Amino acid sequence: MSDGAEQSMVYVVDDDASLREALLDLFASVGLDALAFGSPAEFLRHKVSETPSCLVLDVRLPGLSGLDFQAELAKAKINLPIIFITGHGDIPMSVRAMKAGAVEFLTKPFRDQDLLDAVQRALEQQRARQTQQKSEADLEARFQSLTQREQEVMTLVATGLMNKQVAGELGVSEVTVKVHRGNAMRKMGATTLADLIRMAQALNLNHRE
Amino acid sequence: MFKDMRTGTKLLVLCGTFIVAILVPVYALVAEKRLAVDFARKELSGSRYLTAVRAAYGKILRADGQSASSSVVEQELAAAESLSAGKFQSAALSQSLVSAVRDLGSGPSASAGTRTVEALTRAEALASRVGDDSNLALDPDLDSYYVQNIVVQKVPTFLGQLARLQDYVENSITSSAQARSSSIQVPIFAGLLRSTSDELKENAEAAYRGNADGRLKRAIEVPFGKLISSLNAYLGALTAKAAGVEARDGVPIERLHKAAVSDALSAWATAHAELDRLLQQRIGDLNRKMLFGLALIGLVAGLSIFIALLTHHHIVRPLERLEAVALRVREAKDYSLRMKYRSNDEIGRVTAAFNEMLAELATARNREMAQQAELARATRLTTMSEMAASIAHEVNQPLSAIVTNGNAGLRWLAHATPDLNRAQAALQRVVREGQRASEIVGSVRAMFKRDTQNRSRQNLNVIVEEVLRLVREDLQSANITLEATLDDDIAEVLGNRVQLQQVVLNLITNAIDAICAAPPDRPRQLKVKVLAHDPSGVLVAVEDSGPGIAQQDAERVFEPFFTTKAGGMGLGLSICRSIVEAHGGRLWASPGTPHGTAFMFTLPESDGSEA
Repeated sequence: MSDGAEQSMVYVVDDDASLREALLDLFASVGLDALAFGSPAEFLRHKVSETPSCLVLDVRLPGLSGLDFQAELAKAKINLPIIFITGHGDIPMSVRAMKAGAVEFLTKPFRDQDLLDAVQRALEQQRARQTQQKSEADLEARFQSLTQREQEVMTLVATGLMNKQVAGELGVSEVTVKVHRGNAMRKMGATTLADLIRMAQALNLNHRE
Repeated sequence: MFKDMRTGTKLLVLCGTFIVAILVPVYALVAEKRLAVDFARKELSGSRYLTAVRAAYGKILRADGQSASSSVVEQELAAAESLSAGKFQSAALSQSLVSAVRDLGSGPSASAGTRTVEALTRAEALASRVGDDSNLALDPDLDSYYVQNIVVQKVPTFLGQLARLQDYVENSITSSAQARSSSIQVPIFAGLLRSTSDELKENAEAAYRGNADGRLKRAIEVPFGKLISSLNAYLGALTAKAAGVEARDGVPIERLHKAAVSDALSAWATAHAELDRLLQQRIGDLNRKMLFGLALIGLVAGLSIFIALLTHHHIVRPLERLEAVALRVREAKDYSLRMKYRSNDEIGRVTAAFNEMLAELATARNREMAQQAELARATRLTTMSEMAASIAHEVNQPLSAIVTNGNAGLRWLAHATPDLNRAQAALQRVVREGQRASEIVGSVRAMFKRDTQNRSRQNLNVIVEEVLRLVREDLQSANITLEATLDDDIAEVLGNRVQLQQVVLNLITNAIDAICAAPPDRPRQLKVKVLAHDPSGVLVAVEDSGPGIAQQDAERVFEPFFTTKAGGMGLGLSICRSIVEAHGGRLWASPGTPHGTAFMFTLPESDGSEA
């Protein structure tokens, strides 16, 4: 658990102080950093960590149910994997939670391993998502560093057109297209045409305006 | 106005109108008959007067043999005149007749015949006047008309003519100067007499025709026959004498005349008696017809009243009973009541429809009650499941903490170097949470078991005042007047303050709901009383001016899940009774005065020991 897990953070929102305390101790015993809050409002006042993190959320909360809170987080574009815990879970409630993207739905009292597994899964998921988000952001930054003409050429090449065809589309000579294409591949860091096409797909160029 | 009358009154008005309508012809009938009867009575009184006149004739003609003294005749005439009370305008004529009768016996005997003729002329005039003025001459019936004509006119005329003839005969004997003319005069007088006797005969015949029963004919035929024959004998003798044949069979003319006069008088008397009889008979007939008419009308009226009574019995009475049943149903809400009335008329059909409606209402009400019971059961189940869920959640919370803490402790111990401090802390939390779970279970048990803990000495005045403070705003906004009577000398009771407050609050809240459900014209009043209860203890009464509780519901309101309120759960009074009984007291309901309901509970006096 010490492999890079030091950076991760588990947030707990539950109105029962005893359970909060027990959960913090449990996470501590497996070396997970954790923070606990008595209500959603308290949690929102805290800045969510940039590091991989997840939320252990009680369904029954004072003022706002956990499920509603989940919806609110989604609306606020706070992308945080959620593990629900509840005293009296029922099937419709768990289905709703899972459809809304919950990682796990646990009924109290739960087995500690189930909770810890769910937390690990959530953190992995978050970590993977963050990595993907990072690479997508890199790719986008590289794409933005291309000139207007280079971007046009890259978009058309990615659709499978030959240099001659691209030149015809844009009304320039084939030589010019070759130069732009070479610049684009260099700037994007693509070693092969296949690489470039994959990047174009990741950037969703075909469907951009 | 007529529309709003009770049906019985309407029928009475109809009956009254009908009776008035019947009284009008009754009055007309009686008036008409009375008029006719009075007419006949006047005729009868004239006839009675004529009796006196007839007596005067007897005196004048000395036909009654020994001849009554003239004073008797005078008295009779005077009596008749005073009886008639001047109705016939006959006083002067009567007076002149009386003086003529007085003169009869005086003066020279040679002129006796002339005086007799004079007296007869006056008597005839009196008879004629009485006949004219006593309605006799206007007699409406055929038989009595001709009989009265005989009695009033023809017989007096006849007697007058007879007397004049005799007077002439007697004078012609004594006076030779007149003897010569006798051969002419006698046939003239005889002709007049015959004509009168013919008229008598004709009148008699006409009267017989008008008298169907023949009684009249039987009575007067013989005397008048005798009159005619004795007249014929007399006239025969006179004719013979005039021809020079003297008294062939030896009977003197004087005697023949006397016989004729006597027969005329007796025929007259008979006819007169018949006239009286006919008049009496007419009066009797008229009275009988009137009585018959009245009896007929009375019968019809009686029949109508009988029909009105029948109508009352078959329309008004059933309607009243229908009304009474409807009223009872509305007040007692007893839909098992039925109206008993069998008939094929409209009321019978209305009754049948009404009974059917009641049956349908009863069914609907039963259905509604079943639904309510079903709802109550469902509510109870929901409540219980909710309560169970709530208890489960409460207990689950510490159990989760225990499990989590236990797991954490195990993990601390499982480390390569077991962290005993953290493990110990986790175990301490396990213990703490275990105790917490136990407390929750204990409090749940306390909720279901009667809480005899936490009891202390309480003053109910204080508790009631506190509750009244709580509901003051509700009372004001519902516009309810509060009448609170507290007794400073009450004993203290041993009890749970919160529970007793709950009881009082529940009763007062119920009372406010009841007052708000009462008809708007009632006074909105809440009475709360705290007083010492015999032998020792306290009584609290909460009385409302609401619609009250039906007799059959007075005990049911304390059953769990029974409610009379639209949104009520039906638990309040049941819990109140449990609390009061757990305190050794009693809670009951009784009707309020003049309306509403009074809830009362008693609590025993504290014996000084505290639980």
